[in-house]
Amino acid sequence: MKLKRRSQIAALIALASLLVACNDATLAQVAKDLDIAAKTVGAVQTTVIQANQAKLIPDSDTKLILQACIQVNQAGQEAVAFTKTISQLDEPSRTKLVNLLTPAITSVGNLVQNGTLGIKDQGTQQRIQLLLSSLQATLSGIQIAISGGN
Amino acid sequence: MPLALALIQLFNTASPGIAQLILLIKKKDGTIAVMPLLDEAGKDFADNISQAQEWLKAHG
Repeated sequence: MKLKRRSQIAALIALASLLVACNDATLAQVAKDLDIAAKTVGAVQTTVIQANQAKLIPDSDTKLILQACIQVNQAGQEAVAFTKTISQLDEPSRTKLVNLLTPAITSVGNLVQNGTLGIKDQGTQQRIQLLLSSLQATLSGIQIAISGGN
Repeated sequence: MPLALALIQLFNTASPGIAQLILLIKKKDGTIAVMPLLDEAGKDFADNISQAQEWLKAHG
């Protein structure tokens, strides 16, 4: 009887934890968007590196783009690490995530504006521009979701 | 999914009926999927950093 009672209490405590962990759909959206952002940055990097290998992008432009990508990746890592510690997006959590992601969004915005200017091959330029715009949209989407726009 | 099933079996043993509630929670907002997504994102971000740093190191 005692063992059964303890098991019931343990199950109730576990369920309470699960309920707390499962009450924020916005958190799920942020997690999904972070995953998409990570994959998009990967696609940008791979495309840029391959274009550089094919001599379609000079080393100087490749360096600028990759340095900006590292900044985005690092911000993404911090956002992931922080999101893992929370069970819902309360006000302090939203502020923290916005502060983590804003520099990355600015960096990508700068790349969209100027990062592909040195790429002479039009096809390559357009491909990278499209990927950067897609990344910008994903990061902005996270910002909107965090701000309660979803 | 395997984790969710294991949890459901555990809860069902300890307290029948809770499993249905958990399934309901999962269906309603799918938030149980948050951790695997974050793990995947974290791994991808880390791989990206390694790739970029490798190129930068090679092109000093």
